[in-house]
Amino acid sequence: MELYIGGAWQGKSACAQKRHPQIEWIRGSACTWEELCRAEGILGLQEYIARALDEGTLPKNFAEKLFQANPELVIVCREVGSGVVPLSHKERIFRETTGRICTQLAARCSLVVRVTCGLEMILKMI
Amino acid sequence: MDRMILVTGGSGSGKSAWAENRVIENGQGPYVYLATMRPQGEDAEERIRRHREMRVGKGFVTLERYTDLDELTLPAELRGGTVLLEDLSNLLANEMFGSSAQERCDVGRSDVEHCDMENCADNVLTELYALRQQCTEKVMDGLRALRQQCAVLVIVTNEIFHDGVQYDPVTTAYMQTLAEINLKAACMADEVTEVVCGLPLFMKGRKTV
Repeated sequence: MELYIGGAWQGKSACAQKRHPQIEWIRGSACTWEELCRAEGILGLQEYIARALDEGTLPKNFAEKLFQANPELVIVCREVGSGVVPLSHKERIFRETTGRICTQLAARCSLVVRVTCGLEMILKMI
Repeated sequence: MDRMILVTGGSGSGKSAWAENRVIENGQGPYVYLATMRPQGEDAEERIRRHREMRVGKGFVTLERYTDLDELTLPAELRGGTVLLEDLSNLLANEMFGSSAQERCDVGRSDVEHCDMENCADNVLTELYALRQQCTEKVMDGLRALRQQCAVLVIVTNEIFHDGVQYDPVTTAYMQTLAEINLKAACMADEVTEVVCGLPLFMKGRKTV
């Protein structure tokens, strides 16, 4: 499993797609859990998390379940945790859940890359 | 040595001080401090005062330029040295939301600022998209023009992309434009550094210890 993280519009997807030109990508804005479990790559995982939280369909132990189901998945996810704590409960939960999921996924990944200004910084490589 | 250096970091990260020291470390005078912040409002004035104090004794000549960097010609005696441009987020805000920008494009209206991405009218999104393209080009032309006039160009920009907040369409367009300019500038630059707590994380061109 690989994880590409970074702030909004920093070129995360472009970096991941450059490293994996052959694979097929699904989008977090439109995919289901089942699709996630058999996808090769996902762009914008944070959008899946936001939708699944809204719909109440986010699996418990999401990160671990995803790793067990799809250990080769390449994941692109936005970092969303570095602002003022949001006033709305919904946004607070989204922000914290996304951060925790990324942390748990990173622990399982063989490669974690942080992208800023289109530049990669390798946080983990095994 | 001919060099372009991009320095990024969050608010209060120490990126300005680090950039100033990077200029001096490089040793290629004259040192020009190119300020982009309009001295309007107490916050801006306080910030400008603090930055001026920080630069005392370092040998900078300060020039102010709020927009139209692409049309700037440095005085002959200031060419060929080091220019510290501070910073892209202010320059872009001036280009996008300054008076001439308002004439070019009818965004920044309060009714747009208070709607969100989902219920924003298509024509407004189209206008914003055009404004993004226009401002990216304008600022990049400015950077290229400036680079021709100095040996070392140090550019300070801003990390504003990690808070996970969904902003109104105008602010979102501003952020997307700054992100795009950051990416293009990083691509052009010989050195890119993120400053965290005053410490450099070298992302391009130098190695972190």
